Amino acid sequence: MTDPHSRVTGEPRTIRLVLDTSAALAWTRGSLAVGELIAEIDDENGAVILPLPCLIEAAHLTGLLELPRLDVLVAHRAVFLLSDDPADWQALAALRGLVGTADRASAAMLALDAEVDVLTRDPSWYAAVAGGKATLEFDD
Amino acid sequence: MEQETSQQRSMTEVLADLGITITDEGKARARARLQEADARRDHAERAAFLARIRSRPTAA
Repeated sequence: MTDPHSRVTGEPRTIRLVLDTSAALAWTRGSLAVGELIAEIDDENGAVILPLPCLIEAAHLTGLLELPRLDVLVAHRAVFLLSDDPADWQALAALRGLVGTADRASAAMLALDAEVDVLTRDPSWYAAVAGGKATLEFDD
Repeated sequence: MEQETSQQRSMTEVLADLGITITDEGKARARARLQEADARRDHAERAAFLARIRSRPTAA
């Protein structure tokens, strides 16, 4: 996957993680572990991907009450909101069967494509993806 | 004078505005976790899985 470019400086940023819905939810709750990881990645001039379906699900699961906080995340220079590639729809459908939900399928696909891990509260959701070794767990 | 937007500010500063203090120790912890994840990543296995699921989704 081509690295995204900073929306401010035009300098390339290296993708380091994909946030799934649980990580986006943790962000809204002020998770220190998630914050530390994104802050470190930002300091390294890196980037995290937030799949659009994960953002939508996080907004829904918080009853649309955390939209301002999610907006802060989405607006940051180190966060890239990405949609699925329509050409991958069959693979995404298969992944949906493996991970249980469409938002997790998007997170898994984008992580595989970018050759990084999915930051998640529960790695067992992704146990059937690439030998179960495509996640980084957080626990706060 | 230009106003500095949240997009231009570091994540550490943005989090501080939200009441979350990110310390150097916390960043070092995060850096170590990222490096460990990089080291254990099996790129060949992932590439094979991705190729399989893209070419024959039902067999992945």
